[in-house]
Amino acid sequence: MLKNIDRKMVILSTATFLIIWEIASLIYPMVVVPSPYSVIAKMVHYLFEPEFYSDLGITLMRGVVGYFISIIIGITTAFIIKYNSILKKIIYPYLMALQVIPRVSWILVAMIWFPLNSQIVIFIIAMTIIPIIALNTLEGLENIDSSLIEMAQIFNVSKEQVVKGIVFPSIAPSIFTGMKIALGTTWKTVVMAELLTVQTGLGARMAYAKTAFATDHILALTIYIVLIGLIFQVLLSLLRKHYEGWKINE
Amino acid sequence: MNNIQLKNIKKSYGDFKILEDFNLTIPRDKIICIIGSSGCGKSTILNIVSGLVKQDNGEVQNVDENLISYVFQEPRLLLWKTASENLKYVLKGKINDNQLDEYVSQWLENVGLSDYRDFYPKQMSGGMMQRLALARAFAMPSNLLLMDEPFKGLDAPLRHKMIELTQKLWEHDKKTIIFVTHDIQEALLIGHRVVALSARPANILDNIKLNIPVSERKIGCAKLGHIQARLYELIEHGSLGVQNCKVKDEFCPSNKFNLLIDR
Repeated sequence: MLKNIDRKMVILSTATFLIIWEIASLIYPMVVVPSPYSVIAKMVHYLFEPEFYSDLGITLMRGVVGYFISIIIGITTAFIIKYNSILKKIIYPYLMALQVIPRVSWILVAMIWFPLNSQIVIFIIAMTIIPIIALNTLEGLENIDSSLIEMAQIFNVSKEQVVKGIVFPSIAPSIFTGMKIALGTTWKTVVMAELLTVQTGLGARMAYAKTAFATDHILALTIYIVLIGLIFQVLLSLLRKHYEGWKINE
Repeated sequence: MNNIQLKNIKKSYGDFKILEDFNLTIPRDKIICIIGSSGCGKSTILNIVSGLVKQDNGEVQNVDENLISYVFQEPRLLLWKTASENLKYVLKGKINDNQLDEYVSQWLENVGLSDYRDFYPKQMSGGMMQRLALARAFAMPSNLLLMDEPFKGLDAPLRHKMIELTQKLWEHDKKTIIFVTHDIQEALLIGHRVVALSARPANILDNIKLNIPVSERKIGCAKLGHIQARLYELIEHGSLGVQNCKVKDEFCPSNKFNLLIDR
């Protein structure tokens, strides 16, 4: 990903950012702007704390489970809508509405509906990203080249082969786009949901840090969450490259 | 195998009558070209024969819908599959799995694409893609091949090469071919029989059998020129029969002309 960007520019801009941050930390009290050194020190400190790994693991589990459940439900919903016009009329407006419902609204109602454990976090992730996946998949389904389906029909290709050979490769770019947008949203949502609803996970750690005014902890945890997000984005783009290898040689 | 029969076919799209009591007999194991101006219903005939479009009335006889292959105006290749994978995609389940690789290689060789078996369509030129589409259609175990203006988008020299290739492939595997085109010259170079259609709703203006061996049919040759001029006049003015065509005697006396064709 960084290959295309001038490495020198990256180093220069990072150095400038750290210098400005350091100067700001000298001007303002530590609770407002902690120094880069103290934040990095907290990050290292976490690495030697066993409980950190259990919180990290639980956040990862919630994010991954919520993400994959939403992908399955989102793609299935898109197929149902595409091939059943009555259900489309019923479900489509709800998908549009779901997109604009604020995340905090889900958090608040989920706190009433669910016990305060992983279920609530997974529910909030699902409600937030199912519409993203479903609407993107639907767009892909709407744009399948019908002339290819016609070709397969004439050449007497089996329905299973049509789905495997034409439908999925045609909608894959739209699904990947939905998955990419949804992935960023997942990590933001999981942390917000943990912060407001449960006692475990990196989000809950942030809530504790906030009550103790430990800004350095908050920033250290934020950097870890950003790193998780980036690692998953890289994994997703590797998967996409593997699946859409044919596009590279165009 | 019995000849293909189209009997009393009717087809309308809204108020547009495309075909009205259309009848045609298509001889087996020959190349029959259907010519006519754009929008006259040529492609609709192919779509009805293939079963892609249902006629409002009438019937198509002696066509097995499972044994049809098609070359479309566009190559209609799967962009995410390589040349060999595109062939395998339609051949899977129709050719033994253990013979499939060799069979595909043979057909790629037949159309001069052996060196491109692992190329994706986007890495090929328009002509190569259409050659691959031709290979796909001929490789398919079918007894009827439908071709809908397959070389329309290609330049003239390439179109001519594609016609020669189609003839070569047909010699190798003599399928019944229905070749639809608006290009009279193309039809005369490739067809054993040429059917000229009127404007919509399509009627058969003439149905001629060419008595000139394919090897003697060259672009610009006088014999083809005579027939081409007559067919052009016929399609252009609709109702004239070839016998009454006014260009006939200017180009070729009728006694000579009648040796070139049969009905």
